[in-house]
Amino acid sequence: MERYKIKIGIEVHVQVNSKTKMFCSCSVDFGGEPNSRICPICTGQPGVLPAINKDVVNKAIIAANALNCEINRESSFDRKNYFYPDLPKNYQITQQRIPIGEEGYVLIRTSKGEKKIRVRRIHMEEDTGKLIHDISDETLVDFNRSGVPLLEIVTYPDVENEEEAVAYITRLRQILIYAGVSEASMEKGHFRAEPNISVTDMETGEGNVRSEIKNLNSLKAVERGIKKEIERQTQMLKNGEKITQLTMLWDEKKQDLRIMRSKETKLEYRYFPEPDLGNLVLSAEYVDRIKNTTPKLPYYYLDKFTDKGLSRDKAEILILYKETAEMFDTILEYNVKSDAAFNLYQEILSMIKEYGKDVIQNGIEAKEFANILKMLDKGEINRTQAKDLIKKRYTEKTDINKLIEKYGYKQVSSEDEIENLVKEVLNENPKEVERYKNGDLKLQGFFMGQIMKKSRGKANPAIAGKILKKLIG
Amino acid sequence: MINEYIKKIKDKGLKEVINEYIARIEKSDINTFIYFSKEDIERQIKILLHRKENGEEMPLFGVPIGIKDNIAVKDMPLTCASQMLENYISPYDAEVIEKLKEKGAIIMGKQNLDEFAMGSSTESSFFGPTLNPYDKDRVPGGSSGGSTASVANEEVLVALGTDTGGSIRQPAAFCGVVGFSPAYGTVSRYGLVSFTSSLDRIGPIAKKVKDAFILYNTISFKSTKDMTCFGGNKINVDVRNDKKFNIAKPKEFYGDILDDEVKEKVEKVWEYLLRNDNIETNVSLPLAKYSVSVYQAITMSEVSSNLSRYDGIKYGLKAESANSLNDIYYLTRGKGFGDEVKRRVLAGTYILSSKEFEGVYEKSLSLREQMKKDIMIVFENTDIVMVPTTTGLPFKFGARTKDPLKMHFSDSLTAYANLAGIHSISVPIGFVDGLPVGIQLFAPLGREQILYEMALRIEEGVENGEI
Repeated sequence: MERYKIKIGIEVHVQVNSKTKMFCSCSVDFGGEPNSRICPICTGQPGVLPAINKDVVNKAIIAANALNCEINRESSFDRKNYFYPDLPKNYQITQQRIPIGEEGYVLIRTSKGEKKIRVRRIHMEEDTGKLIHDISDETLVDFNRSGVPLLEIVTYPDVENEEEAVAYITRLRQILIYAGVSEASMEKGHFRAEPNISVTDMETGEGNVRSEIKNLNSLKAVERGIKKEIERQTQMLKNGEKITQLTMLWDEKKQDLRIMRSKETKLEYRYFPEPDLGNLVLSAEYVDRIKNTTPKLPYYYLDKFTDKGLSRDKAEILILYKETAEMFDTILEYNVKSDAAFNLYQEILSMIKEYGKDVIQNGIEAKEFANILKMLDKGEINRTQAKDLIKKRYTEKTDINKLIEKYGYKQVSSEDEIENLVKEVLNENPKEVERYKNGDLKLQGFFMGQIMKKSRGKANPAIAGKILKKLIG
Repeated sequence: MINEYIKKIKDKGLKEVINEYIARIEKSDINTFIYFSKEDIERQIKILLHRKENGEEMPLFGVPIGIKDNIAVKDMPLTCASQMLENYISPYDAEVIEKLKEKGAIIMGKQNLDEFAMGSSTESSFFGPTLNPYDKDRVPGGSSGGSTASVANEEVLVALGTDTGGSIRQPAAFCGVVGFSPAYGTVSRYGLVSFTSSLDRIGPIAKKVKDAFILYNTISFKSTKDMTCFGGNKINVDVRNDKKFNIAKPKEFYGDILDDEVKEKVEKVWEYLLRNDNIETNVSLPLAKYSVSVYQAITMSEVSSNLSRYDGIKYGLKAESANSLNDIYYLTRGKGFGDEVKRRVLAGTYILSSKEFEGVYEKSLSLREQMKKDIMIVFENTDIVMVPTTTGLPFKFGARTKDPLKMHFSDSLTAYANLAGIHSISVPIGFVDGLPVGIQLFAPLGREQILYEMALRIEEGVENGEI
C-alpha cells in the first residue's frame, strides 16, 4: 500500500442552458452590457418573490438521471445566508436539506483502466452576480449573472490523482452536453470545478485535512493545480509540518497556488427552508416522463461503437463531440465497415479542427458519407478522392454527384490503362529506373507519385503498385 | 358604501368627490400619510376619465384607496417607514396594485406603519407616529396604523394593510373599522416587502364589512408571481343566509386576560348572537398560550434573513464615511434600522445559528403545525371561532415602548389565526369610554361566505344598537 493516500473530491457548478434565469424571466446570455439583463427579482428589490423555472427543474431531473442518481420526488429549497456584494438578497436560494438527486456515479477511463467516481449529490441553485475590480478604483457589481440557474454536482473523495480528476471532469462535461443540459464551457464560465484535496500519511495517520482550490479555469489548470497541492501537502507531511484547512487560489499567470484564506473558521450560513417556495414536489409520473426524454448519453455510443468492432480508444475519439457521435452512429446504420468508416472519418475530425462544428451542420451528411465509403470499398474512387469529396462537399457546398462530375473523380482501375501509364512514367525517368534496379528501393514512392500525378489522382494505387512491381521488380 | 360612492361620482363627478377626500387629507393632523401628492392624484384622474370615455368597464372606478407603505406602487416611494428606504422609489407595482389600477381605483398615497411592519402601535415609524382619530393621545394600533386611522377619518374610502400577527386586525379594532386578514395564500404577496414570509398577507380595511369583502374579491386572484399564492374563493356579497351557525368560544381567549372594558363589550356580542346562533363554550385551544413565543421565534428568524438585502450596496441608504465593505454594512444597517428592527434581526440571527436552530426554530414550526391541527378539529364541529381582537382599549403613547415584550403581547389574541393560516377578521363592536373595541371571527379556507354572513350580523347588531 502507498504511504501517502490521496483523496480528492470534486465540486462542480454548471450553468443550465435554459433561456431564462432560475427564479425570474430575465434572459441568460453571454456577454452584453453590464446590468442589461436584470429585473427587480434578480436584483433583490424590496417586495419581490422567486418563481421556479420549470425548464431548469426538468433539466435537473435529466442530469440527475444521466449521473445514475436516485431522484428525490420531494426536494427542498433552502436559504444560504451570508453577506457579499454580488449576492443581492444576501442569501442564496439553494437545495441544502434534500437535493433533487443523490448517490449516483460517473465511469471514467484512465491509463489504469475503468473506475467509478461516486456522485454524492446534485442540486439546483442560483448564481451570484460578478464583481469587477479592474475598471475603476471602486469595485463594481454586474448582476447579469445573478439568478442564472446552476446545478451543483459533488462527488465523494474517490478521485486519487490529477489524471483521474481530468478524466472525471472531461466525462462529466461530456455527459452534461449529451444530456442537453448545459453547454458546459469552462472558458465561458459555464462549468466551474473546485477540487478538495487531502493527503494522509498512512503510517502516522497525520494529514487527512482538506484544502480546496478555486479559479481553475481549464483542464490544464486543474491538472497542474491538483498536482501542486498534492506535492505541497505530501512535502509538509514528510517534513512533519501540521497541515491546516486552506482555500487556495490558482494563479494562472504564475502557474502556482496561493493561499486565499484559512478554512478554519467555519462560515455560519444559518440554513433554513425557503418560505417563499416550500418543497418541490413532483409526481412519479412526471419524473418518469421527464427521465424518458433523456437524450442518448456517451456510454450508449461507446457501447454501440465497440459492439460494432471499433477499439475503445477509437470510440472515445468519436464521442469527444456529441455531434460526431450522433453522425457516426447514423453512418453505421448504412451497414458500412466500422474501421474503414473510422479511418475515413478522420477527414471530418480534422475539418472540425479547421472550420469548427459547422462542418457537421452544413457539410456532408451521414448518408452521403456512407455512399462514399461504399464507392471506396468497390474501388470506384480512391482514398485521396474520397477525402477530397468530403472536404469539397463542405467548402463548395455542392452535392457529391456534381462534385464527382466536376472533378472527374473516378478511379481508373483498368489494368491496361494503368499499365500504359506506368510504362510512360518509367520511360520518362530512366535514371531513376537505373537507381532503383541498383537497389534504391525508396524510389518506389517516387514512381507511385508520378503515376498518380499523371493520372490526375485517378489511378487505383493498389493496381498501379502491382503493375509497377511487375515491370521493374 | 363602495356602491353608494360610485353613485355619488355619477351625480357629482369624479373630480369633485375626490377633492373632498383631498381636502380631508390636507386638513388631517393625525399623520396618516408618508407620501401624498395632489398632482399625482390629478394625473390618475385624468387617465381614468380618458379610459371611461373609451368605454372601459371599471368596477372600482374612482374609489380612493390608501396603500400601506410596505406595498409597492410604481414610481411612488416604498419607505416601509424606515430611514433605510427613505428615498427609495419602487420600480414596479405589486400584483394587487396592478389589479386595483386595472379596476379603476385611485391610489391616494402611501400610508404610515411601524417600521418594516414590526410593531403594534405605529410608534416605531421613522416618520413619526400616527394618532388615533378618537383620542390623539393614544395609538391607532399597528403596524397598519396609518391605514386604519385614515379609513376611520374618512381620508380614504378603503385601504390595503398587511397582517403578520395581527397588524390589520388590532389597529382596525383600535380605530373602529373593519380589518380583514385573509388566509395565507389567498392574496398575492408579490410586491409586499417581506417581514415574515410564511405569515405575511395583504388585506382590506374599510368602514363596512361589505366593502372589505368587495375588495377581497378583487385582490384574491391566483398569482403567477407568488408561488405560495393559490387565490381565494369569491364571496357573493349580495347573498344573505339566515341559517343558525355554531360559534366556538375558546377558553384561552377569554377570562382574566381581558380588561374589564373589553370583557363587557364582548359579552354583549355573545348575548346578541345567542338569539340566533349556537355558542360552543366547551372549546379549548391548549397551545394558545404559546402563540406569542412561537410567533416571535418564527418572525424573528425569517425577518433576519428578509432584511439582509438592505445593505447600502444596491439602493436605499448608504452610510457615508464607510472605508471598507464591512463598514458599508455595519454603518448603513446601524443607522438605517430602528431599535425594534435591530432587536428582531439580532434575535433572529441568533435563533438561526446552528446551536439554537433545532431547539427554537424547528420546535416552533412543529408547535405551529399542532396549533393548526387543533383549530381545524374545532372547525369540524363549529362554523366560526370568535375571540376578542385586543385585551384592552387603545393604549397611550409610550405605554408599551419601554418594554418590548409587553408590546409583543399585543399580538396574543391575533397571532394564533395567522399561525394556523386561516381567515380572520376584526369587526368593530362599538365604543367604551369613547374608544373603539373590536371582535374577531376566524374561519378556515372554504368558509368565506359564512365568515361574511357572521361579520354582517355583528355589524347589523351594532348599527341597530343591540350590541
